[in-house]
Amino acid sequence: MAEQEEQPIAGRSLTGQAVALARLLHHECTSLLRLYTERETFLSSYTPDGKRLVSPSPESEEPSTEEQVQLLHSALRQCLGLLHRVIQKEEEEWGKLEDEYESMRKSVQARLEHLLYSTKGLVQTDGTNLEVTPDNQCNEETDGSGGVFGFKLWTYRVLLELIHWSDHAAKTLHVLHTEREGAEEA
Amino acid sequence: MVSAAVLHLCVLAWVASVLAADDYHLVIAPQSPVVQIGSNFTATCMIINTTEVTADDLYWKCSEIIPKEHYIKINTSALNVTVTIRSEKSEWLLCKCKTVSQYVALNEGKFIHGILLRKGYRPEKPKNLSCIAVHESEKISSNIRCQWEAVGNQTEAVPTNYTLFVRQTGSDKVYTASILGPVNSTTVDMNFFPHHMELEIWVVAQNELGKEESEHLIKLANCFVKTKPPSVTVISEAVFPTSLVMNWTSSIDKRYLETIYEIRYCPLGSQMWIYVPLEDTSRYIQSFRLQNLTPDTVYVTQVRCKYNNKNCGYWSDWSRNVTERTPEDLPTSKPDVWIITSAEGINKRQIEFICKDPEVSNGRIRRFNITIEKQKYRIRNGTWEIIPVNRSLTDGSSSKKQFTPLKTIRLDDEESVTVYVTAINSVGASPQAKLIIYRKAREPPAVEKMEVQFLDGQLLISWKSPNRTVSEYVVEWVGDGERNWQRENGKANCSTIKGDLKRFVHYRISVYPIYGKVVGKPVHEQAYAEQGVPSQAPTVNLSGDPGCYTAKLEWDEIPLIKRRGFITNYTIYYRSGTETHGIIVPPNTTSYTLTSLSRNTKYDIWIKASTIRGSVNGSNHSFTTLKYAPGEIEGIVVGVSLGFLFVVLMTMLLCFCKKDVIKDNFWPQIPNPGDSTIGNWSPDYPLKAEAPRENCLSGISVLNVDVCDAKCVFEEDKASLPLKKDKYLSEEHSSGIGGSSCMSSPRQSVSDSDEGGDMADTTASTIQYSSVVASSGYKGQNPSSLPQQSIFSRSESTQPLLDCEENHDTMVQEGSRQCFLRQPCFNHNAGNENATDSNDFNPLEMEQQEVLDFCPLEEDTEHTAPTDCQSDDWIPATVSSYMPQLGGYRPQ
Repeated sequence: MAEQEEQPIAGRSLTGQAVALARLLHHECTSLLRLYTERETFLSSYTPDGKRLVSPSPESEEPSTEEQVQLLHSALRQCLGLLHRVIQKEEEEWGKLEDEYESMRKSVQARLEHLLYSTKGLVQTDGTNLEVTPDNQCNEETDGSGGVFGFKLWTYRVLLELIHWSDHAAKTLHVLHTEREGAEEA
Repeated sequence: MVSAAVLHLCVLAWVASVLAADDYHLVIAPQSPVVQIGSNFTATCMIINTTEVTADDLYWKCSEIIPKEHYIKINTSALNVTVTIRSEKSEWLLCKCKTVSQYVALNEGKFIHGILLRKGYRPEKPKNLSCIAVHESEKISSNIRCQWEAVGNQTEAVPTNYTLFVRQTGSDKVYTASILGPVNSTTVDMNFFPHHMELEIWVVAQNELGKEESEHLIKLANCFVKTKPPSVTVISEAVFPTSLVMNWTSSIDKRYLETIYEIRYCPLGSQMWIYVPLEDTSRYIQSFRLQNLTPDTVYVTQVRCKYNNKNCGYWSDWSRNVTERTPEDLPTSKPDVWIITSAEGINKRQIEFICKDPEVSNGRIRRFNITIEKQKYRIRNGTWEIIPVNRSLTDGSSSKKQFTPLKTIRLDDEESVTVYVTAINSVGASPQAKLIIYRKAREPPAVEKMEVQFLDGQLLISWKSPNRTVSEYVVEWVGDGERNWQRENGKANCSTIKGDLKRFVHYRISVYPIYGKVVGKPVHEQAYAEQGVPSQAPTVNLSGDPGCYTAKLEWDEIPLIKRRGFITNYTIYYRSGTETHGIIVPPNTTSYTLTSLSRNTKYDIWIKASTIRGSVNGSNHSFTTLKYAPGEIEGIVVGVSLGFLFVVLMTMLLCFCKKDVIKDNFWPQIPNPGDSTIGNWSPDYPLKAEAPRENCLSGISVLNVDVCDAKCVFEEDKASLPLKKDKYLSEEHSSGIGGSSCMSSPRQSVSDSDEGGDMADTTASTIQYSSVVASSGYKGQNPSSLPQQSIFSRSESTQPLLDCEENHDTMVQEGSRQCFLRQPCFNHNAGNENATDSNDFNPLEMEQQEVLDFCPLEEDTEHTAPTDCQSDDWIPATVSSYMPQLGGYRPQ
């Protein structure tokens, strides 16, 4: 009698939770970008280059799914570092605001931290110790060399990076989930 | 244990050192203890800074003095006590000293010390911890509200504090919230609701006596979410008359929380929800098709949702009602055709065909098709007549209660008729219904022994089946302007009316057996679904006028709609003063005659109508009984009159029969003066004995004149009635004495008068009989031509004089007066005789006129109105005195 059914939903396993969380993060990152472009209307005519701000280097040519998740974890930490930097700079520039963008930005930050905890729980082994703190490795021009305009463009690129890596996380984790849960959750 | 004792002693030493500065001699350790109810508590009392007392002089007191067996003497200056804490109330534990010396007595305040025992319970592990996060605006609230069941007791002195802990699994972040008991719920703010994260929640109960932690609740955060219900829409599709499609939108994005659904629905007006099995809806779906529904029926639908997890989650509230009507379909059952029969003239009946929609009409009936076949003539009205149904659009349930008048025909009692009816809705026609009405003589038999009972709030109709096979029964009820019917199986012998019967409404219930399609004879009964008190009592009125002792009352029957039940009886009340009487009459009575009433009495009357549920009084009406019955007065008058008449007649008869006796009594026999020897004072006038007798015969007319005279006198002398009485008496006597008073004339009186002076001199002493025989009177009446001369005669009778005659002076005076009174009347009657007489007496008359001034008046009377004088006044006064005299003289 059911009329329709969407894509398979994740179960309540850890991998399933991680997939769902990654999808939620992706959804919120998309929303955050939309809110940002609504605020910074000049960005509608801006097309950034394809260069990634976050680009973790794999240890092997063909990493396993777990290794991919570890790489993902690393990338997400860098994303969290970028977001922290954005928040810090924006608060320095405009102070604390209570609009929807601000609220969503905080939500994405929290959600990203949650995802880091999830991926850590999925792939952390006795031999590895994954951190969930922000990784501020990126050394892109964020300190005002480009002025406020440059900072806004950089923020825009950070938000795009978040969307990319959250989507990547959803896919990667779904692969992991599929591998671990097999037919049960496929 | 040892360390505790050491600690105890150290505390004691510290307390002692502190209190020593205050110059106390007793000190208790520990200070301000919190003790657990049900446990033993030990305290030590120490003597300091004095040798006046020893430990043996100490004693402990709580609410009362604690027995010594609970004491333990540590040394001469320290005394322990161990008590079991039982009550919850905080109380002081005191160490006191007996008055063993003068010093102790004078410093009693220094030999006492106390500590307040704050009592409480050790906290126990909270149970049944549960948490919920509600859906606010677009997101799930970051506040998680938890509640638990506090186990064990707590006291006000030692309250329990509850701390709620919420931690994200894998994270170091812990959110807490605390609250003081006995409240057992609190809320934790997590800033963001951690969808897809695992939460660990627990609560810690803690007070000064201990700390306990509840079981840890470890669940996905979404398990604590209670979302808003989805927004639902329902669509009907004409091609699927038995299904509806439900669509809804989840209240929350599935990326935050995946939900499963539950659906329920029911026909509008029904209270019984039909639940769609959870297996069909426990997935993330956004539409559902309800199937196997009834066509043309309004359904109410609702949906709710919860987190997609079998083991946790809260169902949302049900969505608001969404109603939709299923499409119409072909009617699948026959219309319910029925009849209303009424007499129409002699040997004719009027039959109205009415029809209810088919039980399964599957849509709004737009029209009925009817055809009628009269079987007497074997004529079938081959064409179908279309009866449109102009009924307002309502739901299916209400349309079933209505019926549609189809057609009315007149039918001879000898005719039979068959009717065929189909119902048509927007999709098509129903199966055909058929009904046969036989000619009256051949109508199949009715049911027997029909009874109506009110049972369990319903009307139960029972009957005995006829001997023939009945296919079905029709139970019809009519009341309050409404008509309805229902059909029962042919094997049934009872039925409960399924329609909504109104309370206090009179119903006529009929049972018709149906043989095949042939309608049998009905049986009727009256019934009420529920009886009540009549809403109105009859107004009682008098029929006609009341009598002396009776009154006929009339009243109208209470209108059927206002009876509200079967009238069991009427009670007529009538009241006069404070006394009230009641008379119960049967319910079919509309008039009554009250008897035994009192005459000329005001009565208030009213009537009370009663049902089994109660009574109601009508309005008062007042009337007053008659004082006399019609004709009673007339009867009395007639009776009295008759009695009077009888008495008069009897008197007259008696008088007639006893006239001699009466005559003797009232008119005694007077000696005939003719027989007496009268000295003739006039020698040349021969006294003839016969003359008076002749005169007497003619004296009747004289007497009539006397009457007139008397009357005239009476009128003149009303003022001096007593005197006149005497005069009349004297006159009468005088007449009697004269033996011919009727004939005594004024002349005679004048003579008397003339002779007055002489008579006074001559008769007063010598003459006993001095009456004068008046010749003039006789002259006037005597038709003889005897010369009219004055004759003075004296009776020689020795008969004694009457008393009045002895009053000589008076008599003379009155006699002269009488003379003047009578003379004019005599003149009047005597006519021409007066001429001569008047000449003779003129001088006297003139003389008398000087003395009696009324004499001229008499003359006036005589000449002006003699007739009036006679007829009006005089007769009643004089008849009694003169008439007998007349009678008395007649024989003479």
